[in-house]
This record gives sequence, C-alpha cells and structure tokens, in this order.
Amino acid sequence: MSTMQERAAQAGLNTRVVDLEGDARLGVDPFAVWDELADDGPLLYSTAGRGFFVATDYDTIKDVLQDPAKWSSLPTSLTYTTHEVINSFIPIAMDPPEHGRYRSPLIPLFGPRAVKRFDPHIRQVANDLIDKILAKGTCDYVIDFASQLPAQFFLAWLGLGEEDAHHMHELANRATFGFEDQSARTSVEDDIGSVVRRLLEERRDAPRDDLASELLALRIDGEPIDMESLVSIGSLAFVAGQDTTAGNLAYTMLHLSTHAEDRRRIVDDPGIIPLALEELTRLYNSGGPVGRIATQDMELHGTAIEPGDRIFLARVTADRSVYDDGVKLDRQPNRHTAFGLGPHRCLGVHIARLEMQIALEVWHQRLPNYRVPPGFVPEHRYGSFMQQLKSLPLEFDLEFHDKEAAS
Amino acid sequence: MKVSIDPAVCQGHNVCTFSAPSVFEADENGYGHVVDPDVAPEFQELARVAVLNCPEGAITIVED
Repeated sequence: MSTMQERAAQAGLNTRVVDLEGDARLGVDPFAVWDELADDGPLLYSTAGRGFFVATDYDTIKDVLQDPAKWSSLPTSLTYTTHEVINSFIPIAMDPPEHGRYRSPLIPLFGPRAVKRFDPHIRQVANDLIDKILAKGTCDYVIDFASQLPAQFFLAWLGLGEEDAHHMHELANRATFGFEDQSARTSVEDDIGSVVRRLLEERRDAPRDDLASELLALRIDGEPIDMESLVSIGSLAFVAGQDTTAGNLAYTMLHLSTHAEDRRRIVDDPGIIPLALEELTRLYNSGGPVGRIATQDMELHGTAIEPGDRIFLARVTADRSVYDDGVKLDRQPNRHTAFGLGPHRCLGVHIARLEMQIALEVWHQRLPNYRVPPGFVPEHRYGSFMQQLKSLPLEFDLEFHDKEAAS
Repeated sequence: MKVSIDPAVCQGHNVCTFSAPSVFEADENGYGHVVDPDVAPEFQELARVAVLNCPEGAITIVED
C-alpha cells in the first residue's frame, strides 16, 4: 500500500491543486480553469480535498464511466470534496446490478417518444415567459427565463405545478451546490424529500396524470417500490429536472448574446438549433457525473491504482478539447460527455434536449435581436462540481421584431 | 457497408438517430436500432458520421 500521491509521483503524473470548492478563478472564468487542466495530459493528481486523480480526456473518462465494476459510485461519486459527502439519491448512488433494477423501469418514462408529447406545453411556458419579459421591458435571462422554463414545465409534470416555482427552483439549486459537508447535504436532501414525500402520499391516495403517479405505479420484480426509495427517485428528478437544464440554457445564451454572428446564424436558420445546442453544450457543459471510487488493483495511464482511490472526471476539460478548431455551430460529428456516459448517463437527456431546443426556437422567433449591455462581465457561481452563470442581463429591440406582438 | 450496434454498450443517447435517421431508429426507450444492416450507398457517409458521433462508441461499421 502506498498513497495516491506517491503512486502518482512514481508514474510521473503532474500534481496540481484542483480546488473546486475554493478556487476563486472559477467565479471569474471557470472554463479557462478547466482548459488549463488539459495541459497535464490525460491523468493528473490533485492535492485538494482528500486527494484525487483527475481524468481530463474523453477516452479515459469513457473507460471509467463504462466500467462500474472497476470504478464504483459507492460510497460516493463526490470525490473532490474536502469532507466525505454521500449523495443518497437513487439510482445515482448505486452500482450495477442493483442500479439497473431501479433504473430500467424509469427509462420508458423519459424516452424520446414519451417526452415528445410535452412539446406544446413547453412551447406555451416559453411564450408565457417572453410575454412577461416584454411586459416588464427588461430581462435577466437567468432569472426570468433559464431558471423558469425547466422549473415551470418540470414541476407541472412531476405534480408540483401548484407550488411556487421560484421557491422550488431555489431548493433544487441548493442541492446542486450543497456538498460542503454531510450535514449540509442531509439537510438539503431532507428538505426536498419532504416536498416530494408529501406529493407522493397525496398521489398514492388519488393518482393524477403526472410523473409522481407514474412513479407510484412502477414495479420492480412485480413489486411496488417502497416509499423511501420513491422519495429518493422523486428527489433526484426534482433536482435534475430543474437546475442542469437551467444552467445549460444560460451558458448557451451567454455565448449567443456575445457572439453576434452565431446569434444571426440561429435567427436566419433555426433548423441548425439541434446541432448548435450540441456544440454549445459541449463547450459550456455544466453538470453531470463527477467521480468514481476504484474497486480493485489496476493500472491507469501507467499509474498503479488501488481499491478506494478517488478519481474526478473533468468532463468539461475533456469535451472542450475533443476538437481544436473553435466554435462551429453546425459541427458534425460532435462527440461529448455532457450527458454522461455508461449506465448512469443522464436519464433526462431527451427532455433536456427538447426543452433547450424549444427555448431557443421560441426566443429567436420572438426576440431575435438581443445583446448583453456594454461592459457586462459574467460572474459564475462555483464551489461544486459545476458552475452556474449568476446573471445574464439582455437588451433587446422589440418594436420591429416581436412577431407575436406585431400580429 | 454493414452497420451494427452493440446493445451492451448502447445507453440510449439517441444521437445516431439524429445523425443518420435513415440508418438508425430509436426504440421506445431511445436505444438505437439498425433499420437495415446493409447501408445503401447514399446513406453511408451519414452512417460514418453516426459512428463518430456516438458518445459510447457503440456502433461498428464494416466497409465492403
């Protein structure tokens, strides 16, 4: 037995301090920090937190995520934290084969055909939000649109449409940053769990046409899922259904509002939106799987790995360095890990893509001419495995271009 | 050209169906399915793009 740091040194890996919890540069330009990690090759060692390896290229991340027998999500996938923090959400906090037993029945609920029926509802939410922005005359895209669209649509689907969407989104947002220590984690999971438990208990007695009722009807090996597990599954849906889509939409619009040519291209050719979203998601990836724990002795890029070793998957670094020719909205092929890889890939990928596609279509139909105010400097929330844009004020010309208002 | 998807590797990202809709279709859960393993000449370039696009590397092509 030797320490991770000793073995990293023996293998000649570079050592850095990858301090996701405390590096203030992440608040100024997080993507520059991620890009810097690519300079050290596919694997490096970080002395931050409790120490962990960092994988920075696509193939290494793919190999780790596709091999849960060697790289486990247990006891926790949060490998970068100073304190050991367990995220108990099902099925994130599971390995195969147990993971598959819980995940398989969920897959049809989130399949591409199943979610297509939500297109009109999402479009309606998007239009309503733009109506409000027009009535107000000013817009912070993060607050007025990006965080509202997924919250309002997804909460309605889940069965929480009558709750205050702002409050629910704040709760979900706490969960994507609440990893300081176990008591902070447990507190936020308990708060979300109590909202979800109340919903599930109501639907158990009186089912409706919503996701909560569908979860209650699921069976594993012919048996209903116990309430504790359902609360955990529902809590993960509550968090993942709101905050990651919101974060991704915000970065997409930060890019378009600061790159007039790319914005113009979307306006002139909305058919490009699906490809453009893949490209901007690859570049401004803001969520997803974070780390794994080794289960056995093995070797990775010439480094001896021992059971219990922690690895962090720098997916942003990897995705941004797959291609080296800048931003191409129509890039094909375009391979990235933004929705994860392997058995834990984002269950909500099809609904997330649909929401983002509709968000861009509707926005550019109605408000094609927009930009950030002069002198705008983006600030990012950090401290977790992801970053979030704090604010995105947009100026827009509406008198000539809002087709809805003109008609 | 012959194309196949390894069902043990496919995770249902559905990317192949966007890349080459005439070659791949999704089942109701989003897992990729090959429409016809013998790819017609006019779709072969799209099939090659789909191979490179698949995030899991689940698609194999055997060129004639």
